[in-house]
Amino acid sequence: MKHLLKFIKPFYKEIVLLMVLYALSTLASLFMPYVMSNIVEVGIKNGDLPYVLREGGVMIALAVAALTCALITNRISSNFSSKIAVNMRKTVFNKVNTLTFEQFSEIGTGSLITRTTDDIGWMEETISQIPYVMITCPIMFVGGIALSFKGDWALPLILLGISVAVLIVTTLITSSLEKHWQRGDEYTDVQNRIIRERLSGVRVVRAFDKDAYEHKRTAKATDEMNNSFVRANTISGLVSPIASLFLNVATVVIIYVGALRVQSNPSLKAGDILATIQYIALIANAVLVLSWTISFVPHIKVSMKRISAILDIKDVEADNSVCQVLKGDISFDDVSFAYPGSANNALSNISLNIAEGEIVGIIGGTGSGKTTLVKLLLDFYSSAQGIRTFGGKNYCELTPAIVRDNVSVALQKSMIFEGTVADNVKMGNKDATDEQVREALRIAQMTDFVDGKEEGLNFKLTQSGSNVSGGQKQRINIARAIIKPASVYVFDDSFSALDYLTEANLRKELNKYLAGKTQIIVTQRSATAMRCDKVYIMDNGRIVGVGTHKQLLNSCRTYKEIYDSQMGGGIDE
Amino acid sequence: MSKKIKTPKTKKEYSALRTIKRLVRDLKPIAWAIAIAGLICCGSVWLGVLAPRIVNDLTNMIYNYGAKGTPIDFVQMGSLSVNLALAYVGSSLLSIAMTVLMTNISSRFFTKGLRIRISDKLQRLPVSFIDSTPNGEILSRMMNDVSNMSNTVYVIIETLLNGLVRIVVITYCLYSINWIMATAVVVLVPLSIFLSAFISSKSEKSWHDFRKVNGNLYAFIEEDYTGFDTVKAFNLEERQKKICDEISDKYRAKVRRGYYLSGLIRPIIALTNNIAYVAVCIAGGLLAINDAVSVGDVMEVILLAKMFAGPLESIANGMGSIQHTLACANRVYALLDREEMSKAISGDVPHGQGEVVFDHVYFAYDKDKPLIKDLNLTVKAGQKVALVGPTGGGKTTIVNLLMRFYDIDEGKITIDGVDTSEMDRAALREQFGMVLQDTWLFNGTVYDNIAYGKDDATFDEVVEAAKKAHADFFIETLPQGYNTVINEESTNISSGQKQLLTIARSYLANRKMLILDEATSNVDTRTEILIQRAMDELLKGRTSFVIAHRLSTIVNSDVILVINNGEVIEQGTHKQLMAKNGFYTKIYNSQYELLK
Repeated sequence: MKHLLKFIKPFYKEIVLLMVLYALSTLASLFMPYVMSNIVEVGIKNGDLPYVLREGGVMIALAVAALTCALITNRISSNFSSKIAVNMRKTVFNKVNTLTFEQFSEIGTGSLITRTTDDIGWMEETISQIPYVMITCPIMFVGGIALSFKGDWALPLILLGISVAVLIVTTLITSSLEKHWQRGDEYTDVQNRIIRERLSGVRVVRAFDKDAYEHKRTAKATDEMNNSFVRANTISGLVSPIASLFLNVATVVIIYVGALRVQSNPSLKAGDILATIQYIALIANAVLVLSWTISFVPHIKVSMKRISAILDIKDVEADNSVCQVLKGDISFDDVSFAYPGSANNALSNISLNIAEGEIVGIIGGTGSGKTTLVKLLLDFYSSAQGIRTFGGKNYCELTPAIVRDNVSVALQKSMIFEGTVADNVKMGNKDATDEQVREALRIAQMTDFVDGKEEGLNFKLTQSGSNVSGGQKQRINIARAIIKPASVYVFDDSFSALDYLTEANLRKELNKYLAGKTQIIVTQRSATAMRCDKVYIMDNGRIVGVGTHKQLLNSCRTYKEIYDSQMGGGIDE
Repeated sequence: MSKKIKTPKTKKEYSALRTIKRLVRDLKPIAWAIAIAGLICCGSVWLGVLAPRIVNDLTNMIYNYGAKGTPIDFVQMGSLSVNLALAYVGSSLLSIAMTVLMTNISSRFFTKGLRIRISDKLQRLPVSFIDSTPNGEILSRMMNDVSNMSNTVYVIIETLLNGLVRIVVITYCLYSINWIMATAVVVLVPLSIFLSAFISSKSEKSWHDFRKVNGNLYAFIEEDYTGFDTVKAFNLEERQKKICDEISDKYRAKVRRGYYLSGLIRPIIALTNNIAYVAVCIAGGLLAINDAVSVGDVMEVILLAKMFAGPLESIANGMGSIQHTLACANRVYALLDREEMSKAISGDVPHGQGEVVFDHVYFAYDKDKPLIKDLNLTVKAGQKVALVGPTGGGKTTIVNLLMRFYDIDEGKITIDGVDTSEMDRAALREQFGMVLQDTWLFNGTVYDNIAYGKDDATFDEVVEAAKKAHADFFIETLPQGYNTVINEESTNISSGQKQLLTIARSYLANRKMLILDEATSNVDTRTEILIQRAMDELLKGRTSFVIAHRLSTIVNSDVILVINNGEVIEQGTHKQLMAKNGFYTKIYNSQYELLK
């Protein structure tokens, strides 16, 4: 909760004002029945017409006062609750972007997304209710009971007893709600998953004629989801009638007891009883709002805990390092690495030496450790054992920002951001001119694509690039990588969605454009690897061979297996 | 598939009136429940207005004791109190019954019914629609839109039944007491409804804008987090921060306005209620002084006026959300109205060995861009056809047409002489086994995933299939063997193992023809050799169509189709094509080009 307070603190003035106004508006509505009882007891009983009118005027003043307060509070609360939520989201978002990969993966992408979006959204919805409930409910409660003390002690005691009973009963009813909502949510996930499976696998489903089966599966999940929600809705629908039943019974008791007390207690007037009956209605409202809020509390707590978990992560030291230009030599000496929380090494005893200007291939199957190697090269993880150097300098002396300034990468997972083609390429170099963007796209074999679009460089790419093909995504990522000035360029499986012909053209242009720079080409295709100056073979987190294509064919069994399975038959050199 | 197939209504405008009519029609099956709810509601309202009347009498007894010294008759008081309690209890019980009935009916029949209809519809939608519509969108229609619809249906029924009945009955009661006080209350009703409906329609509009910005913001955050490594690799933190600030500020403006407008409704209804209350007190006071009404009457009117507030608020809310609901309903109905796949004409089933003929086949995904032009091809039973060419060139299109995921525009495709377009789709697909590069496994056990290939597979058959696919070895090493549950992202088995499971599935299905989309080599070497061997064995003796990524598999095919830009540009055996020295030769040699 300390984080929540930190976000609320800047608004304490508004909140104090808000509370005062809520209190005033609540008091105004509380005093209305009080004035009404005066009208009955003094005005009507004595036939005092001007008194009735005067008191009526007081009531109008109270109603206007209540409205004014409510209008002002509405403005203030909509202002500050949206601000708090937005500030919170900005803070969380920026925090997440400063996390290290270890910290990021500890919570996980999916969970980070829901925490930044839905959890904060949920806080935003409820946060504006909190001051209202905190002030209004107790005042209604205490005020209603206190005002009914005016005539007699018995009536407020009845009121108090019944109100407490209602509060307990509604809390009991709502306490079982959480379970049903949760079950409903779980089944919703199940149903979503089944539908997603059905849609993404539509060809397989149809090929095996399983539509009816899938429909049955969906229907079952829908049914289960529905049952939970019906239960939850039914229970929550019961709160209001049951609460009002209690309070209505209170009305009966108060009238009857009132009639008894009127005879023995001369200070109790009929008007007081009438006023008390109306306090019941006011208290009923307060109780309902309160019990609803109570049912939200567990949810808010959970959300806040999830948000705090992000904000509590220790900050990494600010990176104030000055830019350094490093040479494109890289060496790893006996480097081993295990992902945080994993018992097994992802990389074991890796030693490699890459000289500036070399074109180096790294080949291996999935899970052989190629991408992990790239991540260590980019200094995504700092916990590796062994010695890594870049441009002759030990990684320990360099900060991640310096390393990443000197190496440019097209990652395995081609990432497209919503925006134009130019925006996406310029992420590699924000100062690049349109000419440079065009040149990078030309080398990436994307000229035809850009020229084919009416908007050219300003062609809008949708989120995650759903309006371009996998190969086009890869090539935009390549353009982004090469437009960035660096001494080492890494292509992590960047040609896998390209056909051999396109790849051949691209690589030819690349070699011209990046002449003299170090290129590291990670691949699963031997056809891609064999065009490199030197190839490292990886298997199971180790380097099992190094050399030129020809040397490796003779010396490395793993390489030969890969080569034969991909290129075998019909090819003779 | 008993439902009649409707004419296409893809681009039809859904007018508000039409949508409402349709909603009403969809509510017909639950008309009986609505009728019962109506009866319950009338009972509840009757008891509801009875209570203030009894309070009226009770109040008078107490007041008269104080004002005129009339002694209180406790026998009468007692019986009136009991009646009052009974009225309250009865009214509460009825409204509980109403709540339970309406929630059950609206979600069990309406919400669930619609979801199941959508799920049912998915069975009959063409693949082309599913391909061209993001999964998330279909999902959101099925989940969010249906939820919104049923919420409003609930509100509308509640408003119409409860609200209108209440307003009418209470108005009647008010006028039966005293017309001056009654008018003071009733006159304010239209004003209050008008004001709050106005505000809530405004606020609905701003929520609509909000939902849009909200979508942008969420999408941006999702994008940043899923592209975290790109953000880090290119030091993009500052850039992302700036964009986040921009969208957040837009978001804040919208959300503030939404909250502000929605927040206005409560004070406005409170104000009109208060004004009514004050008016009743003043008018009642004046009338009571002149003995035109009793104090009890004033009290009754006050209590009745309080009963007015509830329905007013629900009407105001209901009106505000109606536009939004209609939009949701439109989306749901548009999905339900989508054109379905055509039905079989002859129902013939091919009985031969699997001879496939493409006869002057034309096809285009997009009418302006013809893709397959005059494709002719005869595949004899047991032959192996390789489809090669650049990515995105249209290799999968041939598969789409063969399996009738898409229908051809002209010409015909026959299997053993039977025109596929006249066959029942299920019967057609029973001819083929299919192993796709994009391995599809569902969140279930290994056993279930293999058994998916055959409805009544026995355990032995499943194990046999796994053995033939060389998958049994790794299955045995899994923690629960065949009962291991493949998790949602299928991360507990490797991609090569996934491929082996789908091959086992095809073995089990044992179809006379096969479609194989070869895996790009994203698996470790040993598994890759296993997959290769399993696929080769599976192909034996079956007519097969192989989308080739490996050049080694091309060479021994009976026919190679070279496809570029959707066109079959060359066709023949490896030798013939190499001799031609055309596009095929170029692809084939491209892998060596840089070596020189």
